[in-house]
Amino acid sequence: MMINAKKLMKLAKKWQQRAALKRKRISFQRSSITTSSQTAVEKGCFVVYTADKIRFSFPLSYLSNTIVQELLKISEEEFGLPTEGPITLPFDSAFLEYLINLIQRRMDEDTEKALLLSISSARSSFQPQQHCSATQQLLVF
Amino acid sequence: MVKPCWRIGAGMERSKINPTKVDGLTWYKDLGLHTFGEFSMAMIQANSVMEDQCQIESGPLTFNNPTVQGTFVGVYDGHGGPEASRFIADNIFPKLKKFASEGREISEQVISKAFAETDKDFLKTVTKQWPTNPQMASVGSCCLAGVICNGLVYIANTGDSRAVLGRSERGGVRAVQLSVEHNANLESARQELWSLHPNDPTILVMKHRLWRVKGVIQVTRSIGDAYLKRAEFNREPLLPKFRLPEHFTKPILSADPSVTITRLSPQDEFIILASDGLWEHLSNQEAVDIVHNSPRQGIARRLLKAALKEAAKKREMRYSDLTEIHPGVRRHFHDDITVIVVYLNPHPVKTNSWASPLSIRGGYPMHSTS
Repeated sequence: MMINAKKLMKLAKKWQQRAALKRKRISFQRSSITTSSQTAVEKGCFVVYTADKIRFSFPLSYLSNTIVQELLKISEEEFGLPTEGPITLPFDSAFLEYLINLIQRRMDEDTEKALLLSISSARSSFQPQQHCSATQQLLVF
Repeated sequence: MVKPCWRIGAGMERSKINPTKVDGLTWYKDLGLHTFGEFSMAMIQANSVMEDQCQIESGPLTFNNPTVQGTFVGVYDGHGGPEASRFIADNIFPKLKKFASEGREISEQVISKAFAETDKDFLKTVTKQWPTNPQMASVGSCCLAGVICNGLVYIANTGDSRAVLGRSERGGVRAVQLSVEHNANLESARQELWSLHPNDPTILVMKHRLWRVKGVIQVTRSIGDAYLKRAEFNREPLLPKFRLPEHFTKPILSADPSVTITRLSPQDEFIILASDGLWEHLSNQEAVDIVHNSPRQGIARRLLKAALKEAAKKREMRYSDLTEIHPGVRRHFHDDITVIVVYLNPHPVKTNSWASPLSIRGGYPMHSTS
């Protein structure tokens, strides 16, 4: 069966939209340019901010991921459970993006264990002033 | 021997006329009848194990004087585990009845004694379990109790739950806070601790921009928390995060309730009693406005929903998505919440309602994850 050009264009557009949607689900934007009214509340997502004030929006399913749960625990230990605003993680966006990358690669159990260990052993170095440099050196493989 | 007849099945009530319901993580009783009117209860779980407990008891408040009739309402917000709040729910009302029977009436002293003995007995349990279950020493609970009797409302509070009265005023309603709270982030609570421990420079420590007693806990009074009451528990095998670096001789936390007594007037419409999980998201006035302007049926659940909508907004997510989150990890989005609304103004109440005492317990057992 032949597909005419018009149909092909339509199909391509649809795929582009789908891809864009996928990107958006694990997206981040500079919080300096977002105000509460501009912040789109994405369906099926929860939000965390990093220490450098970047907003990340994850699908709810990420909440069952052990590493994500560990990150939330670290946030609680660092900042307590905020009653007035969003969740903030005590490290920068580059590190979080790196972690997301690892999570998406679906690491095996051993790698996950090693990563969890390296996150928790680095906890003590999560000082407000120096955490950025400390977090950059975590687990390289 | 006190044998409480209301301990029939945890989380159940003995009367089939008053069904309570569970919907996912929410437990509720949309509308019921107590001695002086109607009430509504609702709870939602966020922790992996529900740490809040609540109860309402209506009928005779002594064992020997049937003319002392009233309503007892309790909200218990546990921390470090559910054991202390469950212990309060099992014990405080029978103790109140016992002490009320001695003087054949309800008084501030009777209520305070019930708090003191509940705490004493819980600490005994901690001592007994210390060899096998030392972490019980770090379990505690806030305790908010309201007693409505003889045209008076007694509000006794240990910790940071809150009771708010809705008083009708010029077509609207005004919030009157009845409870005195004990949280280190209140100036009054800090002053009290500093004056009780003048020689301890670290009695209050600022952590995460919040004041904490010894840097570990926000409430300045509680039931349980044995590790902050008796030095004998301040050692291994208690987890290091609960151990204080220095020895202490004087209890750091007390279980004494602050008691207020208010004479009810015809303008007094209802009282809202709730754990701090609700008040984190709703102001006193917002809460009384919702109750004043909504139907009675399901009012407690309506308050719960209003608080959760606010919590979702703060976390920059949708309310419908928030309700999908599983207990445990859900604690990062809101706390366990308990809310009880007790209506006061005379409503058509069946004349025989005194004859049928009411006993409802909420919050146990609920969803549990390992």
